[in-house]
Amino acid sequence: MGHLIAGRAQMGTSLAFHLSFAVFGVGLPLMMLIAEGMHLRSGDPTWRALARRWSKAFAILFAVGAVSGTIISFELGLLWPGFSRIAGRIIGLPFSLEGFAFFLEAIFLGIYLYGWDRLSPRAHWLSGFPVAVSGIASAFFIVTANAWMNVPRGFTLRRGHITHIDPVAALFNPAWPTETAHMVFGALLATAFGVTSVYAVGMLRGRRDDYHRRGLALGMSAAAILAPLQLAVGDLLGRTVAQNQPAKLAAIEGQFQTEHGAGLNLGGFPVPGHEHAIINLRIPNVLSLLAYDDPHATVRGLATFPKADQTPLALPVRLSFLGMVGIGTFLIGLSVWYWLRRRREVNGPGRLTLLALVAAGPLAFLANELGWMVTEFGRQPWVIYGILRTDRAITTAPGLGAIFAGFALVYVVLSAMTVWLLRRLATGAPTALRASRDLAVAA
Amino acid sequence: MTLADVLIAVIWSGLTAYAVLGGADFGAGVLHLISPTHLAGRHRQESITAAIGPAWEANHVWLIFVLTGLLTMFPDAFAALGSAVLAPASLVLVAIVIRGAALAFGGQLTVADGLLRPVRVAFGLASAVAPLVMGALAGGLARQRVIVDSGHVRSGGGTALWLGWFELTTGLMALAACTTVAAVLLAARSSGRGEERLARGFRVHAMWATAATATLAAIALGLSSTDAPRLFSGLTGRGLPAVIGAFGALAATVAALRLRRDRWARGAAVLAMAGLVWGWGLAQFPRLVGPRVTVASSAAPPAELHAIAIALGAGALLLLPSLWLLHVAFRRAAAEVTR
Repeated sequence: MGHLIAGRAQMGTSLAFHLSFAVFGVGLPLMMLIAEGMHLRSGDPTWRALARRWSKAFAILFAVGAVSGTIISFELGLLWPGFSRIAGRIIGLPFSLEGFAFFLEAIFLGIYLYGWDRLSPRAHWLSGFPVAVSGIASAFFIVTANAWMNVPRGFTLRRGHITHIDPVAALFNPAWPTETAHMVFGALLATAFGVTSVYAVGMLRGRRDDYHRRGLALGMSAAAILAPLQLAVGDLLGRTVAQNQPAKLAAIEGQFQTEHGAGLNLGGFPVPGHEHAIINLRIPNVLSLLAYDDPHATVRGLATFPKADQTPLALPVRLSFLGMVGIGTFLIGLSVWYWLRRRREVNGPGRLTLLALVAAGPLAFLANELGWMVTEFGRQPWVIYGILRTDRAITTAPGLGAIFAGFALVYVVLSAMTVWLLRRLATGAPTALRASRDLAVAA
Repeated sequence: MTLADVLIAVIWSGLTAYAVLGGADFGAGVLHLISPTHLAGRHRQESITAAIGPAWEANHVWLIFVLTGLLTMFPDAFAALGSAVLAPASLVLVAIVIRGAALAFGGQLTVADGLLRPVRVAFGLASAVAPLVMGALAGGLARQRVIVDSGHVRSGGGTALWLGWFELTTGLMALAACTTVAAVLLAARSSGRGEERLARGFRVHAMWATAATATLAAIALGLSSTDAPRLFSGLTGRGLPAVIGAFGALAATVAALRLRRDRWARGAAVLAMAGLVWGWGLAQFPRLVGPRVTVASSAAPPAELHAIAIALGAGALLLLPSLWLLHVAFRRAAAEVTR
């Protein structure tokens, strides 16, 4: 395996692994707060039981997220010293701030977990707020740093020397609002569907008690609000990309030639060696309209960029983008379908709807992963867009292939064990709630 | 004193916090490993996992603080370090990952699962490997021989950086120091809860670990006079107060343990660990990585340093009351348990 490929594979694996836990770190505290708040309002113990079970799962997810985050902070230096040297001095501020947000999240999570039976219900609920706020703040800071990698600002580059550094201008680069919002909504949405998925599995196994119904209803309520918002933010982010990274836009949309009034490609795969997108269906003028608010605007094509500046991964970018958008469309449709049918189905959703809901959780997580592949593959060959190429940022130390193999093995074992443990945790309503039911079922 | 000097002192304080708190976690894993398998040993193991429980892997936050601190305030030092330490740092990482995962999984497993024993052994071994390699790496870096030139390691890198007699000594010293802190903390915790039998066992471990730390520290100092002259002149110069403080605190730890003053022993052991970390830091100040990368040469530009200094201050204003709140909540919880 090539040196650069091994390094990128390891970084990509670490990030993809960390992402699925970080997504819960952003989303699950909010779900716990809502459920616990419902309990405070209604006094219904089912809500409290839900929040408490989620907090238990969250403790595991947070610990794995902390460890996988430690790995990434190491790898920034071990794999990408060239990147660290430049990025550290310009966009260091959000990294430091993220450290504090993570610290606060850990502290209040400790209070929240150990305060279940020790704090007053109200004080306990309030102790969850800093957890949720700092979880979202962490995502905000880290994605801001990534937005800077896409649209670097806040410095002057003259003859290879970086001067006039302005950390605040770097922080508030043009891409920060849309990119951070898209990530935060994506994390909340994935958590909502993830929670839904767990209770849909329970219902399929015949557990149609209040515990499962409320868990599922809460997830779907959150999804109903979040899914349209995510669609809107995604559209705005597309415009940010169009403004600042035309080569990435061309790869995302499978746009080969420069065109006035460009159409939206359905299909249109940028296969290496082909001059045109293959397997295509076009809707005239829509791409120009979506990207630039003008049906006759010019969209620059992939082929017009110098070979050295084209992403070598145009096809994965396009496929990831189609996957993400496809999953998003499916989730919105599923949400509408669920709420339309809800009144008619007194006993909860039917079997087919439940099966779709089960699939929705993993799919929503996959959409997050695919979204990151769009932005990371799409930025290649740059690590800092227009400033530093990825092959100049990689370490010169040997042995990356062997180290990647070792880490990959650890990740596989770790993922398998985490899934196995979480499945054991999700084994129906707590026994206290089941006490009224036949004990033979619990056994 | 420049702003960069102040900030490297802040980072070094974070490293000290990691050495004490993270070190206690690693040491607890080692004690867990060497606990006998009969009933008394199992009590000891349960007491250890219960003590780590609340903090769990959150202590790695200090390591992340140190790394992001270097990345953002001393980017050239971070990059040079990254270029030089790929193999040993990866080893440390794998150990940290296995340790954290084993702890998380162990809490969910029961004896009936069959996986419990291998998971526990993995937890103990990984807990020993991490401080051993980190100590060896620290020893190698303290010799100030590695030369990194714009991303290329010119000399003193590779295995020469962390495999050698001096590095083995500092690695074992780190392992012993972590075990000391853990055993002393656990002794204080046990006697505070009135579990005198457990406390006695931990005191014995603490005594041996303290003696081992002192012996290894003396050997390392002796070796450095021939193997690492730069470090030796630093340790006997600027770092001398910290070195004397470390040896004094180690002696005080043993004395307090003999008198069964567990809380005093706890304070002394923490001071000893701090003395070792600061002795190293002061001995090589202002050099950070090898002879060329110094505090002044690797610091980020002033605008960035100022922004981060302000962020650090504001963050501390949020963090300190939160930590206090956590402390109060746990104290109340502990009081309720004993009632």
